[in-house]
Parts: sequence; structure tokens; C-alpha cells
Amino acid sequence: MVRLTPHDSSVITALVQHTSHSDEGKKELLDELQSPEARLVGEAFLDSQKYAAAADHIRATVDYLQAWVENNKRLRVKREARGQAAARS
Amino acid sequence: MPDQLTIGEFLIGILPRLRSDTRLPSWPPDCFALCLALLKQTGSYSQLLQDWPPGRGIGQGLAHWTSSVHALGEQWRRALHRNRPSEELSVGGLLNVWQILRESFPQPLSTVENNTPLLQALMHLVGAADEASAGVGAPEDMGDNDSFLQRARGFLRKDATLGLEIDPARVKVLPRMHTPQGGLTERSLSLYLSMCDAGEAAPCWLSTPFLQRDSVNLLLVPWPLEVLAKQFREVPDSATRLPADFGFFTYDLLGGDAELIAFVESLHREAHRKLGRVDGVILPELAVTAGQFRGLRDRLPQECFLVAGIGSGETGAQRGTNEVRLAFPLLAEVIQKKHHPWKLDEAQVMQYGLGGVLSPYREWWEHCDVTRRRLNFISISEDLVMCALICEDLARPDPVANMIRAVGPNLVIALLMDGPQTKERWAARYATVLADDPGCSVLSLTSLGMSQLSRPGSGPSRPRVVALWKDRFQGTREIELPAACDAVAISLSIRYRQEFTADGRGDGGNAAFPILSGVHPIAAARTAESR
Repeated sequence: MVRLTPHDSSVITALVQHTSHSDEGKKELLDELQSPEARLVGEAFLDSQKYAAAADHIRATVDYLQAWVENNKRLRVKREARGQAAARS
Repeated sequence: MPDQLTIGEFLIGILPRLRSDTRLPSWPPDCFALCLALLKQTGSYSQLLQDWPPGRGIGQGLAHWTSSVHALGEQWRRALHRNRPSEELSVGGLLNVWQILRESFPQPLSTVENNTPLLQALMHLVGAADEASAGVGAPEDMGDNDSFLQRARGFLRKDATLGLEIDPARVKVLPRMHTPQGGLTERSLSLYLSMCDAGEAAPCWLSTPFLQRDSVNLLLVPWPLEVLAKQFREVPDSATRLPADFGFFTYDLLGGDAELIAFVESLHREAHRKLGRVDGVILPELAVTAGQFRGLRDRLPQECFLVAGIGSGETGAQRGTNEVRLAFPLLAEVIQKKHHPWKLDEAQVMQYGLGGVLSPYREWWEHCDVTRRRLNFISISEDLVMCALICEDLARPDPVANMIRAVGPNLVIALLMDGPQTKERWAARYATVLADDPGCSVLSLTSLGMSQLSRPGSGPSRPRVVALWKDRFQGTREIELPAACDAVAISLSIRYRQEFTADGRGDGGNAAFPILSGVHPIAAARTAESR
């Protein structure tokens, strides 16, 4: 997997968190990425064709990010359930 | 008698544009910091909360307060999303509340305490801004696109503050993970935002994806297993740079890179065999060199994070280094220097048996670089914001303790070069302080070598107590290395509880507390020769 700088890590985190970014927003975040590898990761995350053509370590990084996003959805469901339980009590 | 500072003058110091433009700060963290700073400066929140909630006894009460502030916060958030805050906030009555504050600008600061409508307005603005900022700390999945979070996280990433208009040289706004549930300070007034004085230590807020499961397994490696007195030495020219009774010392790390890496790999394999998964490996203060850290990282599985104390002795040309490095699956090394040098006094020279290399009749300052003080908050999942501290940094209130209390990271890891981590010793006391307020879970870890070097003045030593755990719910837990074991794997589970602000708002039961849920001794594979 790719090792990102602290800056690029935070940008990538933001990029994958908010999948409904506008195209302009996505481009802004991609432009914020400083290292070429981070940019490849960001592009492959957003574009399945670029993902298919990417090197193994880039794809592994994107896979990890996808797993993280899915895991966050699971956590969100649990968080909302806790909130509803707290509201009822 | 000198002119008294007015409310307006005080607020202009924080938000300079109020000098000419007194409109409501429509960015919630700005409004939060502005109003909370006034409540804090005057201490008047204690006066306000003496008679709380507003409307008590006339049929409104706390439920009305909390629901109205929550609704106002949600409305604010939606308005920001639509990029129409000035238009929509007038509907919610927020502008009327702001008007009360605006009209008080010419009044002396000393009048705040006795101005109940103003105090209520300030609390209203603090509460609504806080509610509008829900979820700003951890990388939560918020479902629909949320432009507030996108912008807020952009500010955190670039400037390490959520503030937009307020002067970052005066005040920084950071996310909050815990609200203290005891005592009454300005920190008791918010769930999602915290205010920090912009001091000498700079906060950094990093986000990195880390797969949070229902538990987190950590391998604690109390390396080195042996520390030699001769690794401590006097810095050659220290006598000419300090008064007669003082000196500088430095600590030299030993080599053996290949042995160390093989040892940790072996421990990781064994921990993995026992637990099925190891999420992170932690080593104490001054455990490894920078090269050893990189070697370890390259050999550990990519999904495993690594936190370790890194050091190097002074070289004559430059001071030694003492820092923590944190590496996560997708994150290169994050480096944080120690904030305070260690001072060895006579009692400690005796305790660690260093009299042969450092005179007990002098006091010895650690000759390390303590410039560019930073504190990294690393947001790795929605339940885990963590930070790491090195030894003295856990005990000293300045420059970062107040920042930690303000943010309330879920997990604080303290890397120590210290004696046994028993309940009676200093680390347990300071861990308890952070567990009580704001509610952090604290792990301290020392090396077996240093722990064995330590000899108490009286009574038996317990050198194999190499780590200590403290959280809000359980008593202090000593973590002892059984004989013939080299490391300990611990499991952390997340417990959720509802936290409340002093004005009565709850967080929906989503405050996350890592708790210690398993301790497993780990032995490295022994070669036939070592057996």
C-alpha cells in the first residue's frame, strides 16, 4: 500500500468520506494532493477505469479505502441506533 | 481609574472584523469561540448555571432548552449547507440573540456577570454553534453530502483550527471527543467543539483511515529488555555551560537492529496466533533508532500501526533526539518531539543506579532538542482520536495538558522511560487526572530494561509491571509481564456512554471510551541456543 504524508492522508480521507463531492470539489481535493502516488490513489478511487489500470499497490490502497468507507457506514448505523435509544430513554 | 475594557473591545481582540462589521459570525466555530471566550474570561457561566434552565418554573424547563438549542443547531447546519446562513438564521431567532450581545458591546466587561439576558444569549449561541458542529472531530460517515463538514475538515487540515474569521493567534477551535462529567469549567459547556488558547505548542489534526473493528488488539513491547548504566553519560562540555551543581546527560541507544526486528516479528506472530489479529505495536520512550523504526515498519504487516519512542544520543555538534513516531497503514511517519527534558536528581540517580556514570551531587538535564513543540491528534476512526505523549509531557501541565483536556482524545498513549508502572507511582496519578477530566483512556508503557534498573528506596521492586491502563470506568490496571514472557498483547473494546454538557444537552450516547478487555502474555520464539 502507499504511505501518504500527513497532509495527503488527511486530503485522501476527506476525498473518500464525501463521495458526493461535486466534480469541482473532487478536482480541488485532487489538486491538494502533493505526491504523485497520492494523486494516483485519489484518481483510482474515483474512476474505475483508472483503478483497473493501476499498479497493484495503488489498487491495494484503494481497496483498503473502500473497506474503510464501508466500515464507516456500518458504524454510522450503530451510531444512529444509539442516538435513537438515548432519545427514547 | 483606568478605563475598563468593554465587551466589544474584548471581542474585537478575538474577532477583529467586529471593529467595523458587527454581524453575527455565521461560521459556528467562530461564534462558539467568541462567546465562550467571553464566558470564560468573566467566569460568568458559573453565575448563569446557578439558576438554570431559563424559564424554569413557568412550564418550559430543561427539555425545552435542549430541544430548542438542538433544533437551532440543525437549522444552522442546514443553512450552511445551502450556503444561505444570513437568510435562514433570522428565521430561527439566532439574529435576535446575537443582537442582545451586540447591544452590550459598550458595556464594561465587569457587567457581564450580572446581565442575565446577555448570559443566556451567550449560552444560546455557544450551544447552537456546538450543536451545528456535531461530528466534526472523527471521520464519521454522515450520509448525505455535508458541505459544513467538508469545509471544517479542510480548515483543520490546513490550519489546525476550525476557526474561519477569529484570530488564530489568540484562539484555536478544535473538535472535542469528550466532555468532562465532573466539576464545572468552560469545557463543561460543549460536546463537539473545544477552545484552546493559542499557546506555544501547536496542535496538528491528522486524519487517516483505519479499519475500526469491535475491538483493537495492541502488542506492547517493553523494549529494551536491558538498559545499562553506561548508556547514560555526561555531555562533555556541560560543566562549562551550567552552574556548578548541574550538568547535561545524554542516553545512547544500542545497535542490534536485526535482533530487534526478528524479536518483534516473533512477538507479532505469537500475538497474531493468540488473538487472530494485531492492530498496532507500541514500544516505549527511547526504545529504538529511526533506522530501527523504519526496519520494523517494513517488516510488520501493512495494516498494523506502529507507535514508538525514537532517540539518538548527542553528537557534540547537536543535541540528542527524543521523539515519538507514529505510523499508520496509509500514513507515513508522524514525528512529535518530547516537550520537556528529563531532570535527574540525586534520588533518581540513586534509584536507577547511575552513580557510577553521573554524580548524584549534581542535577542532570537531558540534553535533547525540545524545540518546535507540537501535539498531534490523530483521528483514525469515528471512535478513536488518539495522541501520544513522552514521559514528562504526561505530568507537566504546560504546554499541552490544557489542549488535551480541551479536546479529550479517546486514547492517550504515554511512552515512558521509567520504573515499574505500579498504581502508586506518578504515571498512575496523571493518568487518573486525564481519565476523570475529560475522560481519556490512558495507556502508559515503559521498558523492562529501565524498570529493572529502578530500585526503590525501600520495599520490594516489581520491575515486570511494564504498563498501566486507566479509563473512566475501571480502576487503574497494572499490566505485568509474567516470567519468561517478553511482551503483552492487550485488547481494547469501545464502550459508549452518553455525556452531557452543564447546560443539559446530551450527545445521544455516542461518547466512545476504549476500555481494557483482555491481557495476554506473549513470549518470543526462543532459539535452541537461548533456551
